[in-house]
Amino acid sequence: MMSYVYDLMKTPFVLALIKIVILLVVAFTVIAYITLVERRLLGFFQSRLGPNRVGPLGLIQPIADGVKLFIKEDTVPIHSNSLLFRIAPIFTFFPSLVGFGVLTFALPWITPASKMHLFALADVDLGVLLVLSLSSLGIFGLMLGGYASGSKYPYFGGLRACSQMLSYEVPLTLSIITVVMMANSFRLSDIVTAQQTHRLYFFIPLIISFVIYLICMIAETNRTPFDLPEGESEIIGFHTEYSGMRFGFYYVGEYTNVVFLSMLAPALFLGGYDIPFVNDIALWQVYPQLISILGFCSYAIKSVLFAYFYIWVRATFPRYRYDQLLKIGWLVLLPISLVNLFIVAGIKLFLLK
Amino acid sequence: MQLLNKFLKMITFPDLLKGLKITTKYVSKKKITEKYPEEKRSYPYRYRGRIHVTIDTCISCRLCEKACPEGCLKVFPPPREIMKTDKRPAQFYFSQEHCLHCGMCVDSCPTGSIHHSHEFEITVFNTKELLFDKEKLPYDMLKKQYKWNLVENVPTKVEVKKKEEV
Amino acid sequence: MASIIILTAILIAIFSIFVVSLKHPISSAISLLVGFILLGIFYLLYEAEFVAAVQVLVYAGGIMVLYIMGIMFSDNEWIKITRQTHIQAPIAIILILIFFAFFGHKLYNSDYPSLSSKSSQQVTVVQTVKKPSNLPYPKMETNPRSVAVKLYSDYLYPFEVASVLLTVAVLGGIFLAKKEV
Repeated sequence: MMSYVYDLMKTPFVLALIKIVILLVVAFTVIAYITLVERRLLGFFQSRLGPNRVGPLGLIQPIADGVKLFIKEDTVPIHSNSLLFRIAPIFTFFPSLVGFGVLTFALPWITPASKMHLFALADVDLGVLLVLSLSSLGIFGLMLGGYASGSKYPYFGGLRACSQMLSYEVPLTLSIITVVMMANSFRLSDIVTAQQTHRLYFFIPLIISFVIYLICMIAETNRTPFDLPEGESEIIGFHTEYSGMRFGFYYVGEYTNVVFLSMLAPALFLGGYDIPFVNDIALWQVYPQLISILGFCSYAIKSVLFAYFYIWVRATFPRYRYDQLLKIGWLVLLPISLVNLFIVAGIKLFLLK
Repeated sequence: MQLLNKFLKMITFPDLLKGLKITTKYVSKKKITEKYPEEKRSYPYRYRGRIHVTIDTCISCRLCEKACPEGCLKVFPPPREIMKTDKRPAQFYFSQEHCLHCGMCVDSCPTGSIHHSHEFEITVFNTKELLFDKEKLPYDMLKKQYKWNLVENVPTKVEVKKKEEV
Repeated sequence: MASIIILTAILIAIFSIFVVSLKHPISSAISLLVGFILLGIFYLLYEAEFVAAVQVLVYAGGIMVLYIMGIMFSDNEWIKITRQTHIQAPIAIILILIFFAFFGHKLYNSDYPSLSSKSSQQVTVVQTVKKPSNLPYPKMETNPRSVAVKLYSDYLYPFEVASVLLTVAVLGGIFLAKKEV
C-alpha cells in the first residue's frame, strides 16, 4: 500500500485525479442503473414489464428516484441517538466505494511513447486483504443505524444484520484465501495474471470455494434468500426509522456492495480481464491497446453475469428463516470452507511444487 | 450406491437449480402487462361505465329519478303545452359524484334512453365538473348503438312527426 | 511524514481517553473502533501494510462488532447509576505519569525507527518501460512474505506460546458457557 502511495505521488497529480473522477462517475452510473436493471429484470421474471414510464424504456427512472429521495423530508426520531443516527448510513456506503479503487480493469495501457498506465486507481500490494478489511467495516452501518434509531424493531433488525454478516464473513474470507494461495499473491492483478499464465480459471480447480463465494456474496450484501436484516415487506429491518437521503445512503450502499462484489468475483474466479480461449499476454505484446480494450469488455461481461445472478436468485428463492440462516452459515459453510482450505493448502504444498 | 446418489444430490443442489431453470423461462415469455394509455384493452360486453343519456328519445317520465338510490338524477319535464308534442326534458341533471354505477336507472327506463357506456376515465380536477346537464351530456350516442340497452324500433317524437308529414 | 505520524498518535491517545471517560458504553465502543482504525493507519505509516490490514480486519471488523453486539444484547439501565471514576483515580494518574516518563525515556534512548530518518528509498512500481515485458506487472517484494518469514523463524516460540494461550482461552470459554460438565 505504502509503495503505491509513493507511486501515486510520482504519477502526475492531474492524471490520478482524472482517474478518480472517471472511476467515480462510472461507478455511480453503474450503481444507479443496476437499480433500474434489477427492477425491470424482476418484472420480466414475473412476466411483468417493470418500470418503463420515465423516459424511453424507463431510462430516467434512477434520476427520478434520486430526486424523490432528495426532496423527501429527512426526519430524526426524538428518542434516537442523533449523532450516531446521522453517521451510521455513511458507514455502509463508503467502505464499499473505496473497494473500487483496488480493482484492475484491464491490461496496462501503453501509450505511443511506450509509457505504461495501469488500468486501476491503486493496484495495491495487498488488494484482497484491503477489500476484506474494508468490507468488514460495512457491518457498523447496519448495526449502529439499528441501535441509534431508538426503537425496538430497528434494534432487533440491527442485531440480526450483525450476526448474519459476522457469520457469513468467515466462509467468504476463507474461500478468498484459497484463491490467494493458488495465485501466491494478495494483489488482484497478480491473481488475474496467474490465471492468464496457467490458462486455467480458478473456478475449475476451486469449484467449492466458488460456490461458497457465490452463497456468501449474496448473504454479505443482504440480498433476497438472506435478506433478513431488511425484510422489505414482512420483518421490520434496521432502516425503518430512516427517510429521505439517509435511507438513500443505505439503499445505494447495498447496490454499491452488489456491484463491487460482482466485479470482484470475475477477478478472483473467472480470470478477470482475460479474454477466454486466447493467449492474452502474447497478443498484448503485439497489439497492446486492442487487447486492453477487449479485455475490459470481457471483464464487463463477466461482471454483468454475476450481477444477473444476483437478480436471478432474488427472483427465484424465498427467504430463509433466521435459524436456518445461521445453521447454514456455521454448520455447513464454515466446516466445508475450512476443510476446503486445508485440502487446497495440501495440494498446493505437495502436488504443485 | 444409494449413499452416493444421496451425496450427489446434497452437493449439486438439484432443487435449487430446478427453481432457477423455471424462472429463466419466464424472462423471454410474453408479458401480461397492458401498457394502459397507449393500448386499451377491450372491455366486457356489459361493462358499466359512465351513464350516457340520449335526450332525443327521453320522454321525461322521471322513472329514472325515482329509481336512483343516490338521487343523482334530476329530470325537469317541459311545460304542459310542449309536452303534448315534444316530450324531451327541459333540463336534465346528472351528478357523477354520487353515481354508484348500479344500473337501476338503466333498468327502469321505458325507452332505453339511459345506458352505460364503456367510458371509465372519469377523473377530473374539480368536483363541479362532475355535474352534467342537458348540454354537457353526450348526445350522439345513438350512432354508437349499444344494442343491449336500446329498445329497438322506438322512433323519437321528431321521427314520428316526420313520418306523419310524409 | 513525521507530523502525520505524531498527529495519528495524538488522535489515538485522545480516542483511548474517550474509551474510558465517556459515559455511554456505545460511545466508548465507537471511540475504541475509531482508535483501532487509527492504529491501522499508524501501522500503515510505518509501512507494515499487512499488519495494518489485519488490524482493521480482525479488531475493527471482528472484535468490535462482537463488543457492540454484546452491549446491544445487555441491559443498559445500570449506566445511569454507575459512577465513572473510582477512589483510586488520583493514584492511578500519578502511576500512569511515572510509567509514561519511564517508557518515554526508554524509547527515546533506544534505536526504535526514528521519525526523522525516514528516507525515500521505497519499493516503487516501474512506470516507464521500453518494451512490454513478458509479464504485464513487475514483481514486488511482498509484505506478508517478510512477516511470515519473521514469524516462523525468529519469533516461532512466542507465536506458539500465544497460540497455546488462545486455545486455553477457548477451552475456558466453552467450560464456562456449559451448564453441566
